[in-house]
Amino acid sequence: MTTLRVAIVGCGQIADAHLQAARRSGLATIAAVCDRSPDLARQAAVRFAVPEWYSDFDQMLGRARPDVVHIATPPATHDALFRRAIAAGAHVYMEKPFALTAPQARDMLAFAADHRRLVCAGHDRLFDPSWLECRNRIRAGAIGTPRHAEFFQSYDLDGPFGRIVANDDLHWVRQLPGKLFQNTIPHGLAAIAQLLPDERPLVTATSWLRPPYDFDTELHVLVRGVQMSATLTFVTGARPATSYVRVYGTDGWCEVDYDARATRLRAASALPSLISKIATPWASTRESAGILARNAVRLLCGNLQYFAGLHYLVRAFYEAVLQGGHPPIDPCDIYRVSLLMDDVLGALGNERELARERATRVPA
Amino acid sequence: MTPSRVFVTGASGFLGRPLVAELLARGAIVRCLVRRADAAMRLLDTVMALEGDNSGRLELVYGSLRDEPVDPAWLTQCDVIVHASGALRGAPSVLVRENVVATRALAAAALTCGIRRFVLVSSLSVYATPSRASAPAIDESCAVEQAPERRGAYVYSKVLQEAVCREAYRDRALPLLVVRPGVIFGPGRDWLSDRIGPRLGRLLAVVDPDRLLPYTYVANCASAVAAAALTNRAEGETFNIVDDELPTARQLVEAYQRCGGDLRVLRVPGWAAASLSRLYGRWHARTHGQLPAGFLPCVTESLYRPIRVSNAAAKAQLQWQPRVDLRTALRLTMEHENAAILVSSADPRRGCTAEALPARP
Repeated sequence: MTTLRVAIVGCGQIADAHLQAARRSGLATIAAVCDRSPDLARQAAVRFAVPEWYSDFDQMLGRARPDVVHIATPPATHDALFRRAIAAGAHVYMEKPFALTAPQARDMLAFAADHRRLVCAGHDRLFDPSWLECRNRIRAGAIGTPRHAEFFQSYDLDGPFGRIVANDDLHWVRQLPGKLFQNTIPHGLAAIAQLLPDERPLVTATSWLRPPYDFDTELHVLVRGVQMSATLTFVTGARPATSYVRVYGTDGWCEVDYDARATRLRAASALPSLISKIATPWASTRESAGILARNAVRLLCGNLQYFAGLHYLVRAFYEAVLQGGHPPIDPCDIYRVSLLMDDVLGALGNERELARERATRVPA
Repeated sequence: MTPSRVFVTGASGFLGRPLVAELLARGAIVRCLVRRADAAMRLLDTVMALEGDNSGRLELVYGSLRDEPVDPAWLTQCDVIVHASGALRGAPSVLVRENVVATRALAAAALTCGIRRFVLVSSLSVYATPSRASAPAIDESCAVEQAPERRGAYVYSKVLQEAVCREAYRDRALPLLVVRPGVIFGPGRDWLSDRIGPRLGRLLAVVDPDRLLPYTYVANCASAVAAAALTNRAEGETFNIVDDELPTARQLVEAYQRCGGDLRVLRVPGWAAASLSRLYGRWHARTHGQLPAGFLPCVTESLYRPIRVSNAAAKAQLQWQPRVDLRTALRLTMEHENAAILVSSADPRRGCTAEALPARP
């Protein structure tokens, strides 16, 4: 087998990125698309020249016989669709969040293992070129031993997707157990899980709502391991909507700016404080010039896609399926991210419980 | 005679509010579908500003066309549906969901409830691009785009939306009437549309600045849609809606700048835009869609090629006449913009007087 037959279920916004990634991989032909709404399935098929479209998932599995199924539907449907795809003999690429809860994720991964099918979770930021560069530098010892990671994400609730979520009380994002956060922070948690070696770090979290919204929009998470800690900050209303990670080590820090496709490094300086005030901006200028040149070349070569990480991850997953190798994201790591999410939501639940208790306590 | 009860979707929107006002002024009972309380308040503000007491003929229904299927109770005792809601921007799936899936559900409900008239507010953008700049005026007999997916998600969704309604008209006798407005402008909406030229942040490339643009002032458009809703004739017909007096791209940009709009303008001849677009198309193909599709030749030809649009059919069959002339329309739009600037900015130098209207070259 040299190329895979790929099918995509769920033809919403993110499906376009999956279709592009599958097409660009050069390892697959897109055999079919499927959505509960025939209009949505048809639009995806027409725009991406997919030969078949379906509004019935089982019918698609039976007729198109895909080797790989991408599941890009709301998370509440993941479990059922996953099991049907695996039972039909397909390998599965699952959009994030992988499952609603960690126990559900564990059962799904066990089901796939029983059927000897490969699974990939949509933690594509782990394969973003700038994150890969950061990881390589950390491995090479550029920042010494990592001690702390800081993940920041600002999300635009007035943006194309955010506005829909904010204005619709019944939107599937608002129906998730962790609501907005469960759909937006898996990338950050995946990065933290990759950095922290601890099996089950301690998690504390706090969240609150920013008017005029009537659901929690701001979140702070602290993850404490034995040797390393991490924070995750999620805010809405700050512009530009952006996300970055900065990893601090014993000999410096390394920062990934996902939106600028940039990796920056700052080594601990042995220079006198006065000199370093000149040397540091000079080093930053040289670094920025290098980033500019690299991104310009990427642009000219057609390699500056918005979802670059997704392209790398999809290709790596297809290669694993074709060669019978190990999936690019280890199932244990998928489970660890689900566990972290459960711990964050658990911490938020405890916090709410505490707040309720305080509010009802009668003053002495 | 019993007044018509008109069910309006998108009633709190940019076109919806003046449309509701126009329907009330024509004596109709108007039932408005609104999603949220703040939208209802916006609508009520519009109605309260009207002369006379119209509140007795205004009905509000809370709901969304996103939640299929349509609740039949919304349409009880309604004679007419005006489907004016829809998305203008967003991902292709969002546009299809809002413009096509919702329309399909509404058309099905209309057939069940025995509606007398279903007015679809479509768009002028559904027409195929004329092959030459010197082509005759676009009228309702001109062909609809055959490959709308090449022209972007909005055009695709509007062509499909019309197709859904036409199918229901042909196969199940939906009493359809389609209006195709040009670019609707007026107080509260950025009047620099995609038809003026590509925009990158504060930089706007104005293509062929003296080109007349197929615009319609929001009150003029609302009166045309209201006439279509309340007429007993013209079933199955389609009507283009543009004003008699059209603005040029230059006029609109100058008006925007005089209102303090922070814009750097680059004037580009049509032939240069076409050549650049062809180059862009090649690069787009080479880089497997790395660049957005908004400047591909099939899109730019449809947006920047000079066209003339006929509104003769609407004037003849709907007895419609654009009441607000271009100068007044621009003045009202700019005054609103100035008011907004005064509210949002402490800098009194921003904003302009209505006397400073740009003249047509």
